[in-house]
Amino acid sequence: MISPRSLLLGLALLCAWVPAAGAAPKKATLGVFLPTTLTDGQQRFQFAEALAAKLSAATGRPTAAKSFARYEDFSKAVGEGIVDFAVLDSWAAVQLGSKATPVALAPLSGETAQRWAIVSTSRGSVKDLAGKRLAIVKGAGAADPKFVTNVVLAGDLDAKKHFKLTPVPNVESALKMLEAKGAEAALVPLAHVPEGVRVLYRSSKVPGAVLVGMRGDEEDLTENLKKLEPVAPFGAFVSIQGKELEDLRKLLQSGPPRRQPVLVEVPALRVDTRAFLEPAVLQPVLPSFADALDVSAEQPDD
Amino acid sequence: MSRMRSPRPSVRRLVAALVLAQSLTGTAAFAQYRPPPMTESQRLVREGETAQVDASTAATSGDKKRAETKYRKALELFEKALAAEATSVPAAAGLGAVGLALNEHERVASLVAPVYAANPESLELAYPLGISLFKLKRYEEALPVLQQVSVANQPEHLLVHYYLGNYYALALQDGEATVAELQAYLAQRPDKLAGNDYQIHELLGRGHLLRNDPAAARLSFERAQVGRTESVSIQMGLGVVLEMEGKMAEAMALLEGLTVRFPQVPEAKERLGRLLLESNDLPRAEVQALALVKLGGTAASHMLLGDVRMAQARPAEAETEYRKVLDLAPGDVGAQIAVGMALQKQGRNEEAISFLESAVQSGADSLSLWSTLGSVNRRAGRYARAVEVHRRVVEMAPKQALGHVLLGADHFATGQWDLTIEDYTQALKLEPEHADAKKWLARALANRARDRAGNGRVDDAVRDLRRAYDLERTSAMARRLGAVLLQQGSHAEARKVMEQGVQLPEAAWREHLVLGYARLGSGAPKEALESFEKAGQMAPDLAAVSDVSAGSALAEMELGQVDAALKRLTEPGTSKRALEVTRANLSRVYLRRAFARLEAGDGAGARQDVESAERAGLGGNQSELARLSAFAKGLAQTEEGRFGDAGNLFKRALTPTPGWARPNTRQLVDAFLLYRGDKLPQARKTLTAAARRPIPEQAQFTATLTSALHRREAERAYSSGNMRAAEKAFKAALALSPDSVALQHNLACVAYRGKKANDAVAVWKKLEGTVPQASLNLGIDAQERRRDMTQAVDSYRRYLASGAAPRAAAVREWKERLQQIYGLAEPATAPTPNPEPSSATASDTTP
Repeated sequence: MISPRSLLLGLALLCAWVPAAGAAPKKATLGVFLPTTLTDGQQRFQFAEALAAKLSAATGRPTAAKSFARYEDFSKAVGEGIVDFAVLDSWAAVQLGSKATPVALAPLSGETAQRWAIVSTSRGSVKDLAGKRLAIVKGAGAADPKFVTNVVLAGDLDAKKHFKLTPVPNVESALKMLEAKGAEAALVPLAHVPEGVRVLYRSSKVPGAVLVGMRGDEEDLTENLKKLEPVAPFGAFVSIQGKELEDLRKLLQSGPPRRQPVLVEVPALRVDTRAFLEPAVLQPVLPSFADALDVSAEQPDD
Repeated sequence: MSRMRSPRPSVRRLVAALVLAQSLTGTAAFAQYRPPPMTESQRLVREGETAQVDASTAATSGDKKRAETKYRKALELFEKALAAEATSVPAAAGLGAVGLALNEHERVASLVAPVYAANPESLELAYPLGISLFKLKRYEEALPVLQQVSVANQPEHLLVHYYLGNYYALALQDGEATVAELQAYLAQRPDKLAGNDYQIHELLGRGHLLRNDPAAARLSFERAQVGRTESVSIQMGLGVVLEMEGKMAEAMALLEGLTVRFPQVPEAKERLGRLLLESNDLPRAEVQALALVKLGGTAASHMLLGDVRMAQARPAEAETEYRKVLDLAPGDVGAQIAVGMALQKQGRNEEAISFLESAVQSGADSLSLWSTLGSVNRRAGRYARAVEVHRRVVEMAPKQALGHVLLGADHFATGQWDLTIEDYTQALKLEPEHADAKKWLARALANRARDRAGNGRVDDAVRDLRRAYDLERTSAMARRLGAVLLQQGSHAEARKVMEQGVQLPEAAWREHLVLGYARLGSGAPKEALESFEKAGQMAPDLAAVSDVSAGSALAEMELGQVDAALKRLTEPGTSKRALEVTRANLSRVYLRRAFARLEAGDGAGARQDVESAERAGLGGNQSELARLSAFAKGLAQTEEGRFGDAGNLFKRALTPTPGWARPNTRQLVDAFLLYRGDKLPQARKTLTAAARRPIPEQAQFTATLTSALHRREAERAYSSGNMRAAEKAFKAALALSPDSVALQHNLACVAYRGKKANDAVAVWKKLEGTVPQASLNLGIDAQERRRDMTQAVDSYRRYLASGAAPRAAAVREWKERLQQIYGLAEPATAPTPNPEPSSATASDTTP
């Protein structure tokens, strides 16, 4: 049974289509590249399909899904203009530079950011891994060591000098390489660290999966976000309010600024009533005591 | 009337009456021996003496007739002898002795006197002459003659002590002299006369009463009574002893016994009636008075009954009795006064006045009568005549306070305080201890002070009440003085007076209330609150309770107990004063809290208080209080960052300069506003202008603001990388407070960035433990410059351990990152404030 509300919505949609009635709606392509956020290829594929369906419903524009396994493929597709929207790991998003405009973050278990971990099968600290192989998920190549040095290690250690960085396509392959002793350590999101592996280092929080627009359709996308139902395993998209991605991009490029000595700051000076006012002004005003002066009516008599 | 005629006759008068009665009963004659004469006159004298001896013998044997005949013969012979020789002392002496035995006092006085005049040292002449004169009641002539005999103290003239003792008690009422004469008598009297000692002891008792020595008097009366049937006069003497000792109930019981045992004795009834009247036991007083009248309608009995009727408020009957007194004793002053009073009590003022006027006209020139005439006029509302008559009293008795006291009462009745005060002052000059004059002078001063205070002459009122309080130390007078001192603004003195005032008897809630305000005004709100609490406990009704509560509110306001104060002020109750306190103070309390909140940096809270003050009423938009409120609101907006609005409010509040502002408040607050708005150069310029004329209470704020401006400039320069400007500004701030470790620390930060890292590190090391940021900066230096991660971690740890670390979250991440990278574990012994990993508290962003 069609409710009056749905009927109205249907009419409204019909009206909305009128200006574009002449041309058939253009097909859109959703790219999904989540090699570190989702560990399973099948999962990534299903997510891509489901999200594309929801996007079609939300935007009224038929959307096809395309899941990418490797950064090169994804980057190429973007370069060719095949991809209209994408959901991808934020470290990859910032490597795309100006080609991708961030629209919203996809929360996982309520969190839009995640920590990264350097894991190993052996004991010791990060320092002990000097000259050892660290498996990392491959991105744009040149930016990959910067991600480790500037973002994960916050500039406190130069990963390129310290490790032999070993690029792999995704988290599963990084962990497999560690297991197969193809690397002494691996860099993976903290959430994906399997049992029996030691966490030598955990990073500060880094933004996770992000929804981006590639073709200047970001405003439409932002408007339709509210209509977009969440797709597991993510929660509903959260609009980007601040400059999370911008900050990440800067951090990736240049690392954190050099620490400078910190001043002792004094809170703002406050009012001193005595300086402004004559002291008597706030004194209590005493009442009149005329009645305390009364004398009894008694008179002298002899 | 108490001063003129007491309802209770004085002890003195009573003693005199008793002595008079006594002197009429006791007489004794003593034989004299004379040698035979040689001349005719001497022969006659010898014959006279023989006849005198015969007479004596006959008298001793009880033959009165023969004794009389012989005495007559002797008298004749002595007279002849004196005629033969007019200067013969023996003849005159014989005549005197025999004349005394025959009670021929006239003859003795006239015949002996000339011989005595020629022989004034002769005691045998002096003795009969003195006695005769005394018996003739020519006391003034008798006295020097008898005193001469008494001083000689001859045994044969023993009786002279008795006569003199009587006279001293009766006429002179001189207790000491009475006692001296009677003791001289007792020392000399022969044993055969001891039987009459009881009379002497009774008289001695009177003498001791005159000396105000009830113990000695009791002893004498008891000696007089021992072994004798009960004597009314002795018992009444004992009654007077009890009165003198203040044992009125016992005195009355004694007298009552006498009236029962001696129903015919009027004195006991009269005295008992007087005492009952005095103790206001009117029914029993009436019984005695009626019985007394029945016993014999004497003047005293009608007087007593009249007085009882007056006390019973039956003035018509009293008048009847008083008029009976006048029938019996025409011209009796006391009775005339009493008639006048009785008439007045009946509302017959005109009759009273004309009665007393005619009494005065008919020549009864008595002070009491004039006094009463004046007072009766005053009571009848004829003040001019009262004053006129009482001036006459002043003329009649210029050395007495009486007339001035009466004039004081006349002027008091018409509210002419200046004149009243003059009258009583004059009275006290004459009699400095006059209790009534003191009391009514104090009251007159209090009345004048009240009028003066009401007319704005507070200083004069204070002067009057100081004098009044000196005269009358009562809690009520203290309260008046305290109140007017408060009105004058002399809070400390008011407090001193009231601290004493509440210690005086009859101090009540009002006295404690005034003390509370005096303590409040003199800056002791805690003690004030105690006074108000005390007043509250004594408050007699709800209006008083709310009166006191208003005072408590003000004390609480001073003690910073604003909520309690507001609760009281917003529920002032029914008292007029409480409403007045609320009206004057409610908005003020809100404003006070607003300023206190501003000083604590609570702009929003301050603004709410200002709004509450506005709702409570500020007395119109242009009132001083309204402008003060606007000023507070401006400061609240400054605190909240609304600088433009604040500036407008300051302009409105401070143009023209209100009474509560200091002369430069406008400039000073503008400087503050510019500072808070980060307009530092303008702020500095305005502040310099404001501080041109220094005000001591502003010195600290001005210095702090100057310093704050330097620091803000330095901080801005530092963050923009202008180290030269930062250094200059920090140095300027440091010059104002060279001991500031924060400034020393910050200057080191500037040095660090100016390539003087080692100097900076030395300063930070020195300040570690005092300034937490020093540890942080040492950590930064270790990590960034020296690449010594172990030291960096240690320094960060110390910074975090300092507790009040504003950058704790970020620094904890720095530290933990280094620890993970370089494998630097926490020291085993060091307590870790947060043993959980960083995830719980770490910043959500990278550094």
